[in-house]
Amino acid sequence: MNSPSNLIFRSLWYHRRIHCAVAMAVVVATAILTGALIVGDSMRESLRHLLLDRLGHIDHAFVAEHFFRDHLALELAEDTAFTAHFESAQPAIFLRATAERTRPGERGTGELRANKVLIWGLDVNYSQLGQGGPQAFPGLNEVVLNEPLARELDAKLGDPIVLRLPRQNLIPGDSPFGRKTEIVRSLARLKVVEIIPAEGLGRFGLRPTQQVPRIAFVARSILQNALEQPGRANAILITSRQPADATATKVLRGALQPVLEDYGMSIERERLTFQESSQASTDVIFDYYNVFTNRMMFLPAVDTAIENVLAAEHSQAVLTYLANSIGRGPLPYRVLEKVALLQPPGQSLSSLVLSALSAELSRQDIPYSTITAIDSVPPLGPVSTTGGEAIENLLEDEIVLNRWAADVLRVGPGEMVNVTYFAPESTHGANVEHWAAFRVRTIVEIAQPSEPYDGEQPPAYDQRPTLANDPWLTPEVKGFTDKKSVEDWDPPFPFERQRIRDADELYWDYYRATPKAFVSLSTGQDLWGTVRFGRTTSYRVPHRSGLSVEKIEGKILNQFVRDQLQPGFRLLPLRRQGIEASRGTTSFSGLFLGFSFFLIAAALMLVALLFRLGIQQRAGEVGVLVAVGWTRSQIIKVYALEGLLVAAIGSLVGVVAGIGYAALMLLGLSTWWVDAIVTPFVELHNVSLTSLCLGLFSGMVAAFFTMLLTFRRLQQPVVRNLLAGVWEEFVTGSARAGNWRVCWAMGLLALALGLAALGTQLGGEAQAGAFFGCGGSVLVASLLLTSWWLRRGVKGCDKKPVHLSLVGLARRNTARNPSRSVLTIGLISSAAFLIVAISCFRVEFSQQGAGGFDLIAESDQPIYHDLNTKQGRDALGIIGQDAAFLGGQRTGNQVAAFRVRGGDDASCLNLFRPNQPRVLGAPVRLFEDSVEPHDFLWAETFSPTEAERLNPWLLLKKRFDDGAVPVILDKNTAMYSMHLFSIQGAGTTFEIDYDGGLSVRYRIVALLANSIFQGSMLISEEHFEDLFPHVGGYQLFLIQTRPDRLTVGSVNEIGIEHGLSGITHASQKLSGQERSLDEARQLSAMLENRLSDQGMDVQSTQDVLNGLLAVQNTYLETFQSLGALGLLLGTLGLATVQVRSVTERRGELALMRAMGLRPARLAWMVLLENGWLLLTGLGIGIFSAMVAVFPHWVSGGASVPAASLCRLLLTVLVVGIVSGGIAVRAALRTGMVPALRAG
Amino acid sequence: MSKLIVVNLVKHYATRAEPLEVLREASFQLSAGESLAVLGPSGSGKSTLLHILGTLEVPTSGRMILDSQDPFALDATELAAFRNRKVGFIFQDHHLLPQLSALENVLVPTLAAGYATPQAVERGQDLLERVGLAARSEHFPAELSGGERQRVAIARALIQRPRLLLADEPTGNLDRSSSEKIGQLLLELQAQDGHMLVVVTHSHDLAAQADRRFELDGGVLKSE
Repeated sequence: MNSPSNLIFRSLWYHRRIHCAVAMAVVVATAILTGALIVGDSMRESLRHLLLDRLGHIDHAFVAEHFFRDHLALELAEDTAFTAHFESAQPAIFLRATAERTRPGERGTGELRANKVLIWGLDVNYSQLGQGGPQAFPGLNEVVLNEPLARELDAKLGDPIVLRLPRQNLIPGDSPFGRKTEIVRSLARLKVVEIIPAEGLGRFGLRPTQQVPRIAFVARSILQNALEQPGRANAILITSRQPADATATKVLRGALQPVLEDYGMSIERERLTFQESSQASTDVIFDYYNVFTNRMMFLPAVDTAIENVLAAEHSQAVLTYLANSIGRGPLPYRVLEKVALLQPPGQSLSSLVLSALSAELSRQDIPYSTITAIDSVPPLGPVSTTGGEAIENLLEDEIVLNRWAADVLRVGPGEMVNVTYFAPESTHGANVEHWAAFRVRTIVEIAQPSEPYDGEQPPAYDQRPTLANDPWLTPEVKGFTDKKSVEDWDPPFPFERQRIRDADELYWDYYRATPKAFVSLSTGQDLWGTVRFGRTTSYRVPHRSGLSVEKIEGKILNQFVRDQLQPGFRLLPLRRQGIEASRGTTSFSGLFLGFSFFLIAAALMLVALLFRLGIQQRAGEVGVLVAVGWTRSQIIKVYALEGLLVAAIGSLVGVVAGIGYAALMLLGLSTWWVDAIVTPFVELHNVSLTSLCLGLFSGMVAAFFTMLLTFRRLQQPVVRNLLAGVWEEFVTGSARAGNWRVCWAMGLLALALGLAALGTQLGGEAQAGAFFGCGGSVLVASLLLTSWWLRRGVKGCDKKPVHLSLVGLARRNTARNPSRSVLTIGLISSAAFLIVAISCFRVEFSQQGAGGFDLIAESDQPIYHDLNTKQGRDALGIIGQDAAFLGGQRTGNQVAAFRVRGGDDASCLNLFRPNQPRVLGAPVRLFEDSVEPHDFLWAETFSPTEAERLNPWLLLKKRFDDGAVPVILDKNTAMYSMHLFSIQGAGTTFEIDYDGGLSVRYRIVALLANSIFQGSMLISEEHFEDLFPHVGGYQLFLIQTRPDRLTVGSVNEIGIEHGLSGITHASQKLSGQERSLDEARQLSAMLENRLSDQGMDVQSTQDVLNGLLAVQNTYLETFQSLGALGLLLGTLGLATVQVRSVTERRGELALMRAMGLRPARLAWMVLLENGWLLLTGLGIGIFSAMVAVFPHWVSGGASVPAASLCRLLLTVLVVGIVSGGIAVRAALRTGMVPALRAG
Repeated sequence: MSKLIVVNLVKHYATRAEPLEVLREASFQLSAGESLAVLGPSGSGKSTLLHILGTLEVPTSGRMILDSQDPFALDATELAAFRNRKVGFIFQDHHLLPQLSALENVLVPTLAAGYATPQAVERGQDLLERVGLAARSEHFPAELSGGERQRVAIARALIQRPRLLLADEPTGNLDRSSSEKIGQLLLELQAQDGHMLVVVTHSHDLAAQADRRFELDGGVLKSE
C-alpha cells in the first residue's frame, strides 16, 4: 500500500456489509429519482407515440363546417407549393354521430347505442393515410367498426347497425329559418364487415386525447348519398412523411384555393327581359349579378369583405326577411286580441268588440310575405316610380308596398300598416314574434305575369314587368322557396297553414317569393339583422360591359385572400399541434418527483443513518489516524472518497433499478392505477440518457452530501473517545445544548405559517410547492426541536429527584445518540407526513360538485327546444306519459341547457395539453332565478359585489372595458390543465386563438371546486352567442330530479300545466331518495330513447364526477403507495438503529441481566425505546401534515379521513414494534458472559 | 539534541458541577535516549498526560516544548504534521486497521504525506524485521496474536522516526510472557534509535526498566 487510495479500496471491501447497506439506501434514493424522471419521459413519449400512431401519415387537416367540392383536394394536391412540403391531399367526410344496434332480447328487442361516434367517410386510397385502417375498403351498405365501438354496441361481424347522421344545416338552428327538428338522417342496415383494433388509424381523432375514440368507417360515397352531397366532402387530409413546420402550414393555407361554391356562396346573373308583342326588340328590365349564400345570410366578416370589394361596382346590399303578416293599421290583430283578453272583468262588451275587430282585421292580413330591405338606386331599383326613377331615402317608419299587397290590404300612401315577424334569433327553439308599424310611402307597381311559374320555368309576361318583379331578391330557403305551392311549404318555423288563402296561393303561383313590401336597408337590418347571423342576404351588382360572374368571383376571392379569410374552413396542424400537446398538461417528472420528494428524503436519511453507523463503528480507526498525525481534512477526504465510491456504485445500480421502478410505476398506471390516466396507453419508452445521467448525478451528489454531514462532528475530535470506539456524540447536557436548533426551528415555523397563508392564494405547482414547503418546514422544525430536547434531556432529568424507571431509562437511551434518533424519527415522520397529507386530499363525491343536479346529458346533435316547457317537449316529441315524466305531475325536474362549442377536453381525463378547451354557454338566467348559488362549491370568486358573492353565476354577466369575456373554470382545470395561475382579488386574463383568426380574451371571474364542469370553460350564453354565432342549440344538459330542489319557477310551471292539485300530488310522490333515484333512472332511459336521433346520452352526475375524481384519487393512491414505501424504509431504518443500538449496548444489557433483570424486562425497555422513536416520528409526521393541510381544510379543499388514517397508522405502529422486537431478540440471544467480556 | 520540556501542565474537564482537575502542574524534562515510566492508579490522569504529550489533547494551562517547539502554538494542520513527524503512539488496544496487512498498518502514518515512498516501505519492512515479524508482514491483524499485533503497533509508531514515543499501557492486554517481550522490545528500540520514551503503565516490571519513573496520583506527578 503506497497511497490512500489503497486504504480506501481496502476499507471499501473490508466494510462491505455496511457499505452495501448504505449503497442500497442510495439505490433506493437514486431509483426513485431516476424512476420519476423516466416516468415523465415515458409519459411524454407514450403520448407522442400514441399521437403519431393514430395520425399515421396525416399531418394537417382542413375541416369545414359545410360540404365543399371534393375536387378541391385534388386542386390542392396539384399546387406546386403544396408538393414542396406535403405528399398527398385526400378528401374525407367526418361526422359526429350516433350508432345503434338493435338486438333481439328475451323481452323483445333492445337497442344498444353509442354516442360521440366519429363517422369517417373513406376514399378508396385511404391506405395512403397510414397503418391501422380497415383491411378492405367497405363497400355499399358496409361498415367497419373499431373495437371500442364494436364493444359498446356488442356488435359482431355480420351484424347490422344504424348510423344517425347529422343533416347539413347551414342556416343556423337558432334562426327562425334554421331547422330544429328532423336534423338527423339515418343510415340503416349497414353490415359490419370488419372490426379493427383501436390502433393506428383505428384510433384516429382530430383532437389530441389518450382516450380511445369510437370510430365507424364507411365509404364516403355512402355518406354523400345519405346526406345528398354528391361529389362533396367536409375535410381534406394532408399527408407528409416529416412533421411540417409553421412555414409549411402557412404555405398550405395559401395553397388551398376554394372557389365561392366551396364557401357555400354563388353568383348568378339575374336578367329579366320583356318583348312587347308589337315590337321586335327586347327590353331589359333588370340585369344584375346576384351574389348570395346558402346560409341565407352572409357571415359578418364575409359581408364586410364583399361589401368592400363590390362597392366599386355600385352593388346593392339586400336583406330579405319573412313577415308573418302584413296587416292594415298600426296594430297587428294578435296584439289586439291580447289587449282584449287583458280587459278586466265587467268590461266584457269592450272585449267582445275588440275581439270582433281583431278577427275582422285578421281576415285582411297577408300571411307569410317576404319584405326586402334595400336602398333603391338606379338602375336596379327595385322601388321606383312608374317612370322608372328610384324612390330613395325611405324613412325609418316608411314602407313601400307592391300593388298586389296594397290592393289586398286596401291601403294607400300615408296609411299605416303593421308587420309581424319572428325575432331573428331564437332561444330554446322558441320563435318570438315581434311587430312593427309603418306608414305607407308609396305603392310600387308589379306586373302580373300572363303565365304562372311552371316548375322551374319562369312566368311569362304579356305586359311590361317592373323592377319590383324580382323573385331573386329573396334568398333560397329549403322547404320554403323551392316549393311549387304554399300548400307544400315545410318551413322550419311554426306555420299556420290555415291562414293561407287562395289569393296567397295565386300570388305564389305567379310571383313566388317576390317581395310584397320594401323598407330601407337600415330599417331592415335593425329589425332582422344580427351580429350573430348576419345582416345581408345578397348583393346585387349591376351588369356592365366587361363584367362577368367569373370576374366578380375573382374579385371576391382576391379580397378573401387579402383579408386572410377562408370562411367555414379550419386548418388543423394535427401533427405539430399534437406533438405540442403531447408535452402534457402536467409534468409527470415533476409530479412524481414532488410526491417522491419525501420518499427520497427518507432514503437519504437512511443513507445518512447507515453511513453514520458505519463510520461510528470505525471510531477507533479514526482515532488512530488522528493519533498518527493525519489531519482532519485528510481523514475526511479518505472517508468521503470512500463514501463517494459507495454513492457512485449505489447510484449506478440505482439508475438500473430506477428503470425497473419506472417500469413498475408504469405497469401500475396501466393496471392498478389506470383510473389516473383513463386508458392504459403508457409504456416504458425511449429512456433518455439525459434522465439517466440526471438521476445518476443527482442521486450520487445527494447521497454524497448527505454522507459529508456525518463528518461535521470531526471538527474537534476527542481522540480518547474515538480510540475507545465511541463516537463523541454522547450527550453531556451542556447548558447551551444546541440553542441554535431552537432558533432555526422557530424560523422554520414562521416560514411554514407564511407558506400556509400563501398557499391558499397560489395556484398550480406554486401552491403544491407552498404546501410541501409548509409541511417540510414544520417537519424539519419539529425534528430540530426534538434534537434539541434530546440533547438537553439528560440535564433536564438530572434536575429532578432520581426516580429512575425502566421507561425513564428507555427515554434516556434514545438520547444517547441524538442524531441517530432524530434521523430515525425523521424517516418515520417523512413517510407519515406523505401518507397523512395525501389522505386528506382524497375527494369524495359531493352533490355540490354538480350543483345539486342529478343527471348530466350530452347530445351528439344540438337540441333547440326547451325541455322545461311543454312547447319545447312537444316539439321534441316528448309527449304523453314521457312528457309527464319530464315535466308532468311528478316534476320538480329542472333542466339547465348549455350551448357547447366543441373543443379539447381540458379535464384531468385528458393528458394532452388542451389548446382550445370546450366552451359552455351557461344559462345564467336559470341559475340566477332558481338554483341556489351555494348548490355549487365555489373555490374562489374575484372582485364580486355582494350579490355576485352570493351568486357567483352573476359574474358571468359582467362586461369588461377591455372586452375580456368573463369565464368560470373548475379550479383543477385552471391550475393543472390550463396552468392559469390566479392571485386573490384579480382573475387571470388569458387569450385563446381559435381557428379562422378569432382570438378571444377571457378573464376568470370565479373558480368552482371539484365540479362537474371540469375540463370546460363556462361563459354566459349571451357572450357565447357573440363569440360563436354559428353554434346553435344546446348539447349539454344538467337535470335536477330531486323533490327537495323544487323551485318557485318549476312549481309555477307545474301549476300552469296541471293545476294546483298536481303540485300536491307531485310533492307526495317525490318523497324519498330511493324514489328519486329510480325516477332518475327512468328519466334517463326515456330521454335516451326519445332523443336518440340527437344522440342523447344521460349519465348520473355522481358517476361522471366520480370518474373525474377517480383520476385525482388514483394519483393520491399512487403516491400513498410511495408513502408506504417510505414507511418501509423508515421501519428498516428503525430496525437497523435498534439492532445497532442494542449491539453497542450488549455488555450493558448483559450487565443488567447479571444484576438480575429478567430478559422480558430488558426487551420491554428496548421496545419502549423503539416505540418512543416510532410514536414521535408518527406524531411529527401527522402534525406537519395537519399544519400543511389546515388552510386547505378550512377552504374545503381537503378533509381528514380519520378512520382510515387511524387504521393505517396503527398498522405502522405494529410493524415498527415488531421490527424492534426482532432487534431485542437478536440482542438477548447473545450469551451473558461473552457479552460482558465484549462490552 | 532532542528534548522534551514540560512545565506546569494543568488539565481541567468541564462538568455540570465544578471543573474536574485531572492534572495539576505536572513538570519534567526528558532528553533524547531517556525513558520515563508513569505509574498510577486508574483515573489518576496518566492517559490524559500521555494524550497531552502526544498533542491529542490541549492542556488547560502550562507549556510543553519538544525540539524547541511548542506544539500547542501551532495551527491544526501544523499540529497534525508535528504529531506525524515527532510523536509515535502505542496504545493498549493496538488499534490496527483490520482491513490492512501488518506492513500496510505500519505505513499508515506515512500516508499523511500523501503516499508511502519506497524508502518508507523499506523502513516499514525493516521495522517489522526488528520487531520480529518479517515473516508476517502480509498478514492481517485478525491473523496475528495479541503480542504480534502490539509489535506491529510499535513498528507503526516508529515508522516516522519520532523524537518522542508514547506508550499507553502497551502491555495491558497481553499475557505475562508477551508483556515482557514487548517491554524489552520497546527499550531495545529506544536504545537503538535514541528517541525519548514515555510509558504509562500499571506494570512495575516494565516501569523498572525505564530510566526514570514518576507516579501520578490525584493529578499530581511525583518522582519516585
